[in-house]
Amino acid sequence: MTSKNTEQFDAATGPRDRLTLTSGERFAWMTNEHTEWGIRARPGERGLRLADINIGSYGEAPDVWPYDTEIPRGALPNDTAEGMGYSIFEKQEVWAESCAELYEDAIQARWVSATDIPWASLAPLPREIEAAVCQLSTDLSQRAYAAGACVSGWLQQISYGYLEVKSYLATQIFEHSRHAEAFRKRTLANGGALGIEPPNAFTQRCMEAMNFSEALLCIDVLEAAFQVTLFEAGDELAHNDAERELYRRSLGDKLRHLQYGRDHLAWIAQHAPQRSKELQRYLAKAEHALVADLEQPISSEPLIVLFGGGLDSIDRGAARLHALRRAQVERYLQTLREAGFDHDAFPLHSHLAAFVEQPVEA
Amino acid sequence: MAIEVERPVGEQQRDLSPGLDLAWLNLPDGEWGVRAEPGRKGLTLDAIAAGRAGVVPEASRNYSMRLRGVREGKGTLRVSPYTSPSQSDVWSDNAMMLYEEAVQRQWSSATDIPWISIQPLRDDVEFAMCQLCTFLTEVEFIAGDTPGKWLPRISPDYYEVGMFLTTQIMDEARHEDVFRKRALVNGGGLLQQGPGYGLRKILEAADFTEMSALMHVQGEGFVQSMFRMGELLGQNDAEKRIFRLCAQDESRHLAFGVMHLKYTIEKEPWRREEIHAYLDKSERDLAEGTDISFIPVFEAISVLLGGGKEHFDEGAQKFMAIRKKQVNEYMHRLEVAGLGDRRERMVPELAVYLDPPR
Ligand SMILES: [Fe+2]
Ligand SMILES: [Fe+2]
Repeated sequence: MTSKNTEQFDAATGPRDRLTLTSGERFAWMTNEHTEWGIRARPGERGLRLADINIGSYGEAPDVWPYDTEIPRGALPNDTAEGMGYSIFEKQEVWAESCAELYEDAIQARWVSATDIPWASLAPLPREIEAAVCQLSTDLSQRAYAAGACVSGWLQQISYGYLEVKSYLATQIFEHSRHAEAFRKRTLANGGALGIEPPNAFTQRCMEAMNFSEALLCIDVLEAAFQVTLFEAGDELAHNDAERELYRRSLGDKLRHLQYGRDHLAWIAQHAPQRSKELQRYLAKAEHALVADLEQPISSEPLIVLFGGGLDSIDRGAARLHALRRAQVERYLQTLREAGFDHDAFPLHSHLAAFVEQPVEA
Repeated sequence: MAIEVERPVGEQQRDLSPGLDLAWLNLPDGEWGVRAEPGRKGLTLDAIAAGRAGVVPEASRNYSMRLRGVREGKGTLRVSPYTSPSQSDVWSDNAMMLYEEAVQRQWSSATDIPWISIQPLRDDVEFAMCQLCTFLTEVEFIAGDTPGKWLPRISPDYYEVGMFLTTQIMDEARHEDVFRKRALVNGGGLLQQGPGYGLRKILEAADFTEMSALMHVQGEGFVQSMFRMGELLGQNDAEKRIFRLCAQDESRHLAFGVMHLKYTIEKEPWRREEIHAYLDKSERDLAEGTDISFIPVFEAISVLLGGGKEHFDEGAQKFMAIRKKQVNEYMHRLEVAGLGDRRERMVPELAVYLDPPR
């Protein structure tokens, strides 16, 4: 099917041969054969969310995804397309039931460190307090940046059958950046300076991961459980509204990361229970790496000083840190339980176990 | 030693007396007392890039995820397998500003698009919009995966670049999602997958500057020139708004790419020929009827621009006007980056659209 005008266009541009060679009949693609023509997603009360468009076959994320191309789930395959180098084709490797909702929730909960944190509330602090805030913030900033780099490296491995996961991960990567810059901003905004980098045992473990679940158990289960609990103590740690708001906002993000980690683990527990001993190994290694970091003075001392309120109240600060550690370990164990992955089946790292086995001093 | 302090209470009591290590408390006096101040746009990355934290090294041997200016620890493990050891490999002077702008200008495809304004369209127009959206979701997939691949390879001495890339990952997830939503909201659905050759080229790139020239400057440049015609492509307020908001995001991605190319060529002029070679290769692919001349997409855009199948030829003429705009804007961006000599080297299939130099 040609026309006068088409020939004109062809003559002007040159790609005529290509067009006539490959097009076959004009509008050959305008067919509802093999499509779900007529199916309509409807916006709900909270707008048109990712979950709302999971209708008909478009909503089915299969257990195994058969395409190595960038084909959108539900489109008609083009058999001339080349592979794009994905390595993850199984739902159990990445899936969590909540990811479509978490994606939209993350977008709705977005914040801006430049303008949503009341920086003007910062006021000079005693030197040891400021230094402690700076060291803690340096640590949190770098851990967030490393987590973002680690997760983002996995993005291109995940095939497009699981687009909800990829979409959610985009929000998480973006949030890791925000935490990295927001805590860095705090470090540099009140007369202190950047502190010492963390020892990296835990980051190394994340980077060593050879499958996605392994990385996720580190970042979105173990570390997220610890950070959620830390941020929940934000009001105690903070000395001004800026810090309070920073912890509060970070907590909101971190709760989503933890939920994704938990729900991913739950999915595996239900759909790939044969992996349970493998995952126990990853958790044990992650715990080991975390303890190696926590044992360092730069990890614990700033918290002791902040909880105690200065160098004069070390005992009080140390007792409060102990209570925090206990709560962190409990949060981690609770997360595993909620995922149907009880830690009773394998030993908890002895240093972590010690926190929950002994009573907190009054 | 804090290791003792960390222990459970019983042991802790015994060990606390040796006191704390407190190495972290010795902040250098020279740095003490410097305060980053919020400006008109709040406390931005620009505002904190001062003093020691602002000194960007030309070469980086930082393998530990230590953000620029953070003090080295004793015995810190190497974890970062980065492959871009110099500033000119990755830097763009606008990365900080673009990061903050991106964070400020996030939008929601769920709530910021007036989906309700989409009413049933003629079948041919609905088909056309859905075919275009199918193609665009593929483009957005790769535009998100690619920065993901590069982020862990960038030294955290240049962390602003890494952070900019995470905003792009976020933007592209939203673009993928908004075009998928549009395809599924009005009875059409997803149609024919494209060949993806041009997209794969972006993922294949082995060098950051090559990747950025292909993705940010060329690929996203062509997409941007199309999004800017969204008033013509869109059939209703929702579609017009989608194109407008996506164009706003794409302009940041493009701006990063153009300024990175400019930086690289200024700092390492000897790379000019190498960069031309990347463009030679990708322009050839672009011209050889891959993604941008994929028949269903070409026909779909022509139907949208013409206003229906029966006005296809009129639409095709308008499409050619867009192609002309794409090529001229591409050339203009290369000129800004300092590659004005591209005009003489552009593949003939694209050069035919070039206006005379201004
Ligand atoms: Fe995009
Ligand atoms: Fe883009």
